[in-house]
Amino acid sequence: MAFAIEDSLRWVASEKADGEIDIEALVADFSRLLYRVAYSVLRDAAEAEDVVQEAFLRSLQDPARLRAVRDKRPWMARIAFNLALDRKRRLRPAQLDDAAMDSLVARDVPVDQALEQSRRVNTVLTLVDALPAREREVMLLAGVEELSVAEIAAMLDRSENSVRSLLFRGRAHLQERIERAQRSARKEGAR
Amino acid sequence: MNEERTPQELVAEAMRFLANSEPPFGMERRIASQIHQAQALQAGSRTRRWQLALFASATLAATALCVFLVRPAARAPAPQQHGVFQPSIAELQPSAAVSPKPKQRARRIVSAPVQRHANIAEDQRSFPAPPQPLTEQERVLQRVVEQNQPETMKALKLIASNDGPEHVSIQPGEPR
Repeated sequence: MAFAIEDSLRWVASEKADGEIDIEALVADFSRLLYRVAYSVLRDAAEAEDVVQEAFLRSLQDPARLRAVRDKRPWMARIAFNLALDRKRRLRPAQLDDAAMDSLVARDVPVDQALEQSRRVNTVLTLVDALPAREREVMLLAGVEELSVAEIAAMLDRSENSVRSLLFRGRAHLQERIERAQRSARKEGAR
Repeated sequence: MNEERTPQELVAEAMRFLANSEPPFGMERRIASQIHQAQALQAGSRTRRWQLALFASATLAATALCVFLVRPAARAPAPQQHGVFQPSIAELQPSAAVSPKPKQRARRIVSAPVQRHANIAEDQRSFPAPPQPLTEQERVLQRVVEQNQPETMKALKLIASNDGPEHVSIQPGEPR
């Protein structure tokens, strides 16, 4: 939440005196957040960057509305999230898996460990994708550390309690599914 | 699935993976420049739209002005030809008939008889031909008359009296 307040204050300060929007300041303030929101859905760096750009362009189409929005962080994050969901429907699942693998392998870890980690993360995120839509959305947004529960609630037009409940249920369902997958993997290994 | 890790650990690892994703290097700069370009394009197209609208309205105004200036000239009556008799209504009507009545009434008075009267007046008007040069015969005759020889004059008068019943008088030395 400290991040949110700091960003909002910076945004207010970066707004020009004549009411014109300082694009550089706007991009500097929100690009990282929007990228993480888009990446949590798409798991592809290039696609996420495209979504961030489109989100900024959309928000700047109506500068008066942008100025009028009181809490810009959830508002802009919601634009990026919806754009990312739209884009994900048009992408092939294999494309997303390859991109996620690449992003993990590129890190400064040994290749065998990176591949193993990539396989694990990919399995869990595939299970997240299989969750019911409301739980999945909350789980993905909760993964973006910069977003508070209140901001996720504002983004999804839900109450904070509803978001907490969905998050709890989502985690529980995900853990169940992971356990089930582990059991079936053990059975396969025993045969 | 790795058995050494609990489901909670696996979920936490996946969430960390999402949370630690860093934007590609130079993303902010690229996006800012793209936004500037898009805004410049939008502003350019808006300016072009204004220019087009201005040009169209100027053309329309010029066309309207031309139509306004040309129409009265097209409706104006043709200029009267010199020497052609065009009797006016006032000239053709008897003075008693000329009264300050409405135009519609006056138009009804100028009917077929008046028009016929105008045609007759035009037919009766003489249009004298311009002076023409004398023919060869006329010049010879003029020379003979100017010489004024009595025998020749007598012979000419005799010929004239024999030619036709019309009265011909030939006066010596009379210029034509």
